[in-house]
Amino acid sequence: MDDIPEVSRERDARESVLTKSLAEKSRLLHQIYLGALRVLRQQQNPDRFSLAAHGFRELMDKVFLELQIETPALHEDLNPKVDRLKHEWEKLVSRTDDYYIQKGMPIDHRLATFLKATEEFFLWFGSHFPRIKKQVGDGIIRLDGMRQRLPPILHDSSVRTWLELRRYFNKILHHNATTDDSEFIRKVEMLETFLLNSFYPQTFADADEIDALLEESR
Amino acid sequence: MPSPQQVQRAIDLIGRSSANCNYFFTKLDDTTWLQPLIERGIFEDPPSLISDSEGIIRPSHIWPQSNYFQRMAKVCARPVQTIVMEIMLKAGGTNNYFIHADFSEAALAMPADLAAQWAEHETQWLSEGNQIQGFLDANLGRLISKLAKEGKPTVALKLASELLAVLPDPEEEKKRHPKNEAERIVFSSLQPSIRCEQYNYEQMLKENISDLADVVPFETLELLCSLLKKAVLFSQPEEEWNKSHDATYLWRPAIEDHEQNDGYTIYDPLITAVRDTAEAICKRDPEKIGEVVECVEGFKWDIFRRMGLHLLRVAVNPPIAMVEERLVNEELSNHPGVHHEYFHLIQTWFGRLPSEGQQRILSWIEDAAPEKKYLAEHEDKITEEQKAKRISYWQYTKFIPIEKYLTGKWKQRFARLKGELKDAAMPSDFLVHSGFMSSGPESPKKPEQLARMSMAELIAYLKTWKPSAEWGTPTPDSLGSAVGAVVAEQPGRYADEIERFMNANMDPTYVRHVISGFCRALESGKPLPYAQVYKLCKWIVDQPTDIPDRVIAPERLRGGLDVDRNRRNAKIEIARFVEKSLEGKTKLPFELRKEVWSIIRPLTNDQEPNVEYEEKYGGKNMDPLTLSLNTIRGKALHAMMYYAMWIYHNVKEDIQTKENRTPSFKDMPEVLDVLDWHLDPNVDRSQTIRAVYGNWLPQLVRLGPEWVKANLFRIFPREPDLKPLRDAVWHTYLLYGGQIYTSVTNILMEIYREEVLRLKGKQLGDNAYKSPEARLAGQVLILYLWGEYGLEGNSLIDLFFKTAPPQLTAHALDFIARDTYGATASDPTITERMKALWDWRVEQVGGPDKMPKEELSVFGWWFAGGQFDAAWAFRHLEETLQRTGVSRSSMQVCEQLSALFSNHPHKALQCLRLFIDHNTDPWFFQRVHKQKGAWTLLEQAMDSKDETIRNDAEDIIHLLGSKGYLAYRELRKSRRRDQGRNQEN
Repeated sequence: MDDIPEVSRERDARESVLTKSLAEKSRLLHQIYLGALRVLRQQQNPDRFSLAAHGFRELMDKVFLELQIETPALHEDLNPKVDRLKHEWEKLVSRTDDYYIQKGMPIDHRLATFLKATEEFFLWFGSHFPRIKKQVGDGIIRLDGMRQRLPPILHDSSVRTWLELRRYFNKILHHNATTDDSEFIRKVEMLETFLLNSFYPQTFADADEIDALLEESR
Repeated sequence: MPSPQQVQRAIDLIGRSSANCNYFFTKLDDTTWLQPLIERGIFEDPPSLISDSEGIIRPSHIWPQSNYFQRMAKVCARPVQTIVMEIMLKAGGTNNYFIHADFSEAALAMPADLAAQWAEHETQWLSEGNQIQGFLDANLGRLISKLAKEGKPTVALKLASELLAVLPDPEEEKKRHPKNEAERIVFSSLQPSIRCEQYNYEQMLKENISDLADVVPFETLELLCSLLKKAVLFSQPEEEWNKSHDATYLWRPAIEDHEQNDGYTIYDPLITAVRDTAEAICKRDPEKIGEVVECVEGFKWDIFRRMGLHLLRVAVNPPIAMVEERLVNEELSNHPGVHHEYFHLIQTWFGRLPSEGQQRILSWIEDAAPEKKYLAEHEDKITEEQKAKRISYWQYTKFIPIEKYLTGKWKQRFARLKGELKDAAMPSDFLVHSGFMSSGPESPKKPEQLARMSMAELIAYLKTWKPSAEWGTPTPDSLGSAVGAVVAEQPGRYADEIERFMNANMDPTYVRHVISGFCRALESGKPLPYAQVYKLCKWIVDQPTDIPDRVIAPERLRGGLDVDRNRRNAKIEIARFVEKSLEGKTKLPFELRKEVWSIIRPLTNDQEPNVEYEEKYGGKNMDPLTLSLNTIRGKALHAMMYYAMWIYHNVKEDIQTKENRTPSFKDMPEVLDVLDWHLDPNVDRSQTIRAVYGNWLPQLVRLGPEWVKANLFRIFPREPDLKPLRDAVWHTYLLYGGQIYTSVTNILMEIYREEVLRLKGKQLGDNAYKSPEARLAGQVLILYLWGEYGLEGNSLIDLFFKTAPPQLTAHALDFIARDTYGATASDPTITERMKALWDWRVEQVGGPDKMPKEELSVFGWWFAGGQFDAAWAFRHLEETLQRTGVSRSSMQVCEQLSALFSNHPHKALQCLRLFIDHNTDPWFFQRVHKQKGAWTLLEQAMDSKDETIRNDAEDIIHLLGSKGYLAYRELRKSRRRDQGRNQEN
């Protein structure tokens, strides 16, 4: 035992507590987490970060799903919306006779369709990120034991961190960025902290700490 | 002052959970943290109040920061208080009244100028229609007192006017458009509303407004009068707002404290507050009486005129001119709305009025102009003798309050009237007098006076006494009620001479009351000469219900209320008397069988109720069974069933001995004839009558099982157009049929199956558990538990679970578990059948994951009952708790978990954790019961020698803490103490 470095022991304890807590909550979450950890430890596997990142990203999404928290905005795909716009644009370019416009005649119906598609796209695009933010925020409140929102400054910071983590795992899983053990573990630990606060609260240990802090500050 | 590192540590801890945030601000008692936390944005944007779908306010909407301000405001210096006020004003837009209550409490601890800023803010906030609850109203009330006492009365007045505002009836629009007769009656009056509970409102008027009145008396009086005026206005439709007459004399008979004041409406505390404020001004400065009365009367309506009269009466030395102006006012002297106050003012002041004023009042009495005017309008309906008597009575009532001042001819005149009217009711200072049990006019003679009369005298009195029909004066009904009371006391005396009653052709109103008196005598076990009473009954029954040439006089008597219009009520009372006399505890001689039947039989042929009657009074207003108890034919059929059972019990022994059988319809063919007759829809299509069959179905089966079998589809017709008749029987049987008898259910099995099939797609509304469908569901399961059928395909229970909606199947499973819960000794057969049922149901739906959540959630009762083996019970509880909560049986489930802990510690803890996850009642763990349930379970676990159990328990305690249930910390602390002690040892 003494040969195992302190950091590793801490990680083991953390992982084991979270594993147990997730198992109590949901078999699926438990499996995803264990799978992601296992692949991360496969030092011989050249693609382990991407594969593990996929697991952790899935864990983040499935936490909400398992708790019946609706986050549809997280799963909306940009591609079909851009494809539709592109399709309308191509139709417009290939077929529109600009004669009508030059003559100040009523607008061509193909152009009108394209403009409508563009408008819809920008409306969606404009509301997409606020909706993601709102839905993740609601999810974080649901993960809180009292389901109460923290002071906005702390709540917003949690939402930001959650979205940044998800973006990070997304980039790694799609090979859009490179990473190393130290950075990746740090991100995993941030995620674990989130989950531990919800699924393995140590409320009265925190209360002891708050008591000590207030005493100390007198 | 905390260091930046300490502030950061605090922020980190707060950021972990809202439970930490709450704990931090509950413990923080140091103002030096205020500024650093402001800088970190911790006090911004407090949470709004949101109710869940069931309207339950979640405690998580409590903002702990506001509690911190409230505590700090009391101990900090002005500069810090100023900072706190800035935060309060910034955050005060929230609708969260918990926060407003804390802020208002904080304002109470601040200097008046700061407190006034908050009061102005709250005045505006209230005017925006925000809801107030909790301690907010009381705190704002205290703020009014504080501001009044500390030199800010104007701000206090503004706050008071918003806080105590009287608002229109929130249901005004709905009440304007009633959907039916029942709604029209219920919605007949508008109820002004206030912002808070009436009790709190009254407290504020008593405790805080008096402080305000001490400083700005007239402004406070005007405020209260304007609130009272709004209460009057909002009690009536807008189109009547330009009038000045109100009905406050009905709701608040006396301005002074009086037992006649019922104190249920918002008028009462407001009237009292206006009165007390006005009286206090006059007490402090008697010279102000004139100004006060003018101020009050300036608000026009009757209540303010009454108030003016009252104030003049109680004032020490009011200006005589003001008193004279009001007393020598003919309109006021005859105004029923101010009768009580005018009566007392004239009683107090008549003797001191100038002679000219006195003479004018006496001349009005002599002229009796208002009464003469009334009589002229009704000349053709009133005899000369009645006219003279009415005028005399009117004059008599006017003389009563001034009796002691009368001299000479007026004194003689009064004495003469008194002699003439010795039998008349004593005129009262109240036009309407409320009694203990009922509200209404009194009898002209008290029961003890009537009891002293001989039968001849009583009959003569009843025949000659004439009601005046003035509002609130005695009526035939009130006299009849007194007669009934006398008969109830001495039934034998009156029964013996009952022929005199009949010979005198007594009014049906009095006959009804006499029979009612006999009923009460029976109820109290007094001996009764039945034959005599039955003679009276027969006499009425043989006469038609309607009395075509009946004249109700005077016309002002309300037919049906003051006097019976016909013999309907008397006949219903007779049916009631027959029932009472046939009940088991009475000793009706069996020889009177013929006489009894001769009364019941004609009543069963009465026309009431017919289809039109049912359309008018039935439907949503009254179910068929209730209607049957309030109609002649319905009540008669009930009486007939009492009669049938009376015969059954009387002949039982004889028939058993002689013929070795139990009595049946064979022994009462007359009953069977009537039953058969009314089952013919061409003869009787009344749902009311069918309800009687449903109510007595078990007895019908007892008397004639073969008859019921043979007539099953006449009793429960299958024809679509007769469905209302079938429903009337079936629903009444389910809801009011009493105990279940297999002798009945076996005969009805085909009906049960048809009715179960009708449950498909059934939508049940609120109170579904009281519905016939819910009763059917319960019976289907009970019959299964009794072994009447099994779980095989196409059995009634199989059919039920395949057909009924989840709301009903869940109700059925809930019902049998509750029915067996708490049984001292469980029947092993029943237990096994219940287990088999649950396992069968889980399998039928394809596993616990597919089971409707409504059904799963009732497993709590099954588990809590404790009659099943623990392994089976835990398995299904876990399956349940993994998907849903058991809210209705939470307490019982936790108690059972605690009871099972010693033998099943891991399972019990695991289920408790799942229970906490699915618990939807925010208050469940808030109410800590240290002697049972979750607490004792965790206590046992924390004492366990097994470390894994202790650790699991500690995790659960933390989990409870994370949900805000901080009391459970004690369990963890005590363990730590014990650990410490063990280490020391």
